[in-house]
This record gives sequence, C-alpha cells and structure tokens, in this order.
Amino acid sequence: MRTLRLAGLVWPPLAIVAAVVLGWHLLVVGLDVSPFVAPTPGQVAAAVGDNLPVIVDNTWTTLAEAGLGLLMGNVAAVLVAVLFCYVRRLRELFFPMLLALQAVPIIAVAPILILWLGPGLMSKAVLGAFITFPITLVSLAKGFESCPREVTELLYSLKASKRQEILLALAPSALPMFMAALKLGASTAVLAALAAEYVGAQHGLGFLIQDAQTRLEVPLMWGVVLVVMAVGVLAYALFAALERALPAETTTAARAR
Amino acid sequence: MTASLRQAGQFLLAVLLVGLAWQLVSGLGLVKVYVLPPPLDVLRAFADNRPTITHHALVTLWTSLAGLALGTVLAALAALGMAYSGLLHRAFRPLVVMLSACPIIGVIPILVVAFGDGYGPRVAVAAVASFIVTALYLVNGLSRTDALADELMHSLNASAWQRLRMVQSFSAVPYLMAALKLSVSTCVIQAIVAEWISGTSGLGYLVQFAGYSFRIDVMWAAVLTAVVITLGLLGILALVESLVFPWAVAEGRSL
Repeated sequence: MRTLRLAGLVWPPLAIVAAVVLGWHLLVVGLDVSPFVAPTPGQVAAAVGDNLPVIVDNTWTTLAEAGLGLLMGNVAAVLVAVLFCYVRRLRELFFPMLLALQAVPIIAVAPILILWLGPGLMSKAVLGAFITFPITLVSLAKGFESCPREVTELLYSLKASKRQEILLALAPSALPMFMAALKLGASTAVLAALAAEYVGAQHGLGFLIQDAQTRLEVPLMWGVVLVVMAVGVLAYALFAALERALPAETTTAARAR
Repeated sequence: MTASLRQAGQFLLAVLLVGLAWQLVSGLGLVKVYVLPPPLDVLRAFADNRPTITHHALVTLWTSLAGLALGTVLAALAALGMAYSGLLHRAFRPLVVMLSACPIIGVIPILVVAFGDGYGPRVAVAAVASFIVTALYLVNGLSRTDALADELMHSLNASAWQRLRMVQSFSAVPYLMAALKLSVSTCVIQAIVAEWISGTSGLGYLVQFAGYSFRIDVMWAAVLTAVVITLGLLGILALVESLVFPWAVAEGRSL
C-alpha cells in the first residue's frame, strides 16, 4: 500500500521529466538544430560517459569548496549567535544589518576574493562562508527567539547559567530553523562555488564548463551543467534527509512552516 | 512608526560603525590598500567614475527588473495552474522544489553559446530564479485561504473566478510580496553572475574589468553600488506594500 502511494507521488514529476527529455530530443532532431547550439540528450549522455573520470574529479573539487564554505560559514554563525545571547546590545545593533546582508548580492565580491586568496580552493570556500553565514545566523537568532517564554523564565527562576539556558532551551528550539538554514545553505554553497569558479579557477565543475565552452565541446558542456544541477539538488536532499532523521518533535515546527 | 525609525537609526549606526572600523583598519595600513581600500577611497572612486558606474548600474538594474517581471508573470500563471489542478500540482511542485536547489547560473554558458552574449540569456536566468521563488510562494498563498471565507463562497455558489478574485487573491498578496522581496536580490545576483561570464556591460562586468586593471577601489565601488541597488529596490517594495496592501504587512512578517 505504501509503495503504491509512493508510486502515485513519483510518477507525475517523472512523466514531466521524460516528456521534457523526449521533447528536447525531437526538437533538436526535427528542427535539425546545429549540435553547437543544442546537442541531443543521447549526445550529452555519451559526452558524460566519455569524460566520466574528469567530471568526477572536478565534482570533488566543487564539493570540497562548497562543503568547506558551508562548514566555515555555519561555525562562524553559531559562534556569533551564541555571542549575541551573551551580549544583547550587539544583537540589537547588528541584527538589522544582518537582515540586509542576507538580501545583498555578496556574490559580487567573488572577483575581489580571488584577487586576495588566489584561484584555489580557499577563495571559493570563503565566498561560500560569506554567503551561508547570514542565512544561518538569522535563522539561529529567530530560532532562539522562538523559545517559549515559560521555559526561559523557568530556567531563570532555577538560576540556570547562560550556558545551561543556551544548551537546554534555546538550542533545541532553534534546531528546526537551523536545519532549514543548512538545507538552503548547502545548495547556496554549491552556487557560490560555481559562481567563483566562473571568475577564476583551474579546477571544479565551473572551470570544466568554461573549458568545454572554449573548446566548443557543447555536449560535454551540457553534461557538466546537468551534473552541477544534480550536485546542488543532492546537497539539498542530503540535509533534507538529515532533517527527517531527527526526532519528529524537533522538526515538526519547521515542517509546518 | 517610532519602532521602525529606531530600527533605521540602529541600522545606520551599525553601518557607520562598520565603516569606521574599515576606515581605521585600512587607513592605518593594517592591511594593504590593494587588498582593502579605505571606504573614503572607494567613495572617491565612485565620485570620479560616476558616469561609468551609473551606466553599468542601469544595465544591471534593467536586466534584473526585466527578469523579475518575466519570472513573476510566469510564476503567477504556473501557480494558478497548480492551485486548480491537483495533478499539475503533484507533477510540477517537486520539480520546482528541485529547481530551487539547482545553481541556475550553471546554464549561462549554454545560453551564451546558443543565443550569443546579449541581454537575452541574462534576463532568462534572472527570470528563472525569480520564477522558482514566486511560484512556490504563490501556490502556498493561493491555497491558504481563510476557512470561513471559503465556506461562505461555497454556500453562495461562487464561481472559481469569483473565488480567485474575492478570496484567494487576498490570501496570496502577503506571499507575493514576500516572494518579490526574495526575488529582487536573487535577480540582481543572477544578473551580476551572468555579466561576469558574458557581455561587455553591467556591474558584474565592471567588477571583473576593474579587477583585471587592478582598480580595487572601483571594484569595491561597483560592489557597493550593487548593494545599494538591491536595498533600494527592497525599500521601494516595502513602501509599495505599506501603501497599497497595508493589511498584508503584518501577515507577511510571520511568513
């Protein structure tokens, strides 16, 4: 019964994907489109198959950049969020700025970062950290805020230390929003890595796309672009799965949102 | 009102503090000028290159706005389709969620090879990015109607169009405004990244070009211009919201 329901959920989007791939093939073949403009799905698959080792190699580079960026951004965000708990004044002063920072195109500093840190791993990771930092920090701050008043008041009357308050009350109530921020941050970190690779890199999927572009290997370019999309989706899915693996009561609030 | 004034004051204070720290750090030579020029140098670079920066800023602004408009219209159509047909909803929603995790800028080189490096590809990626956000939000907004109003419409035998016009459009407005606010920054980001890769104009191009010629002050001026554009557009949106849909402001905050 459960598999039947799952099948009912899965077939409509799969049908769309199949229709898109089929339509793509028919359009390219039917209109006799030049392979430089749009290759057929078969050509793309063949190009990916032929270059699999190179693609896998460069995927690891992009994943490492995105992963390190996500890690640095989130560690920094957790530290600052805790600091905000201890010094309320700082939070009041800088929170509106952080909200604005979330909306601002931080990605535009990528060329500057590459100038500072060189075209290697670090410039991409730092860009990813810059971009994921405000996402997580704002989520954590809002999550801390969502802690029920009665709980903090109880802890206060029990003379709990600030550390106990954070560990016992604030952190658990911030967990759902933190997981949501991680999900969003994971795909954003991939985006940041890719964008920075476009600006200057010697490895990575973004580099591979541009390399294929200059060599006019259009099917390979399409293939790598599809791989990049898959990496972004998988990064998101990984943290979505992690969120589901957490005990239900900690994440129901986030699901309802 | 006083609360928002206070917030604005705090925001300005924080910006001033950061600017002051920046000026001290780079002005006193703690970091090299080519790494981080002092903000006053950046302001001077902005003043000296105002015509150039304005030209590129306008290109980025129009690209983002065109993408925003196109994406929002398409998203409204898609959301209506998904709100009315359960099958369409089940078929497309997972795909749109998947698309939301995709780095859309990946397709820019493909579009450039296929269509040349004009405005088309840049507007297209900005449109796709805003489409994703707005479609997801609007589907939610159209379905989260007031239960009482729903029942009333049902007992009055209202048509689907009347339901849309009188009930659903109201529940959707806070979601639309929230989606637009997210889309604005996404569109500017997409436009800038597209300008890095293709084309000979726009703030993204200017940042790259200034980098090649080691004009770090111009680079920062261009980056800050992008920031100002985004914040300006967000401010306009907030103003429109509070003037046209004042009832949606409070609701939108809880989204």
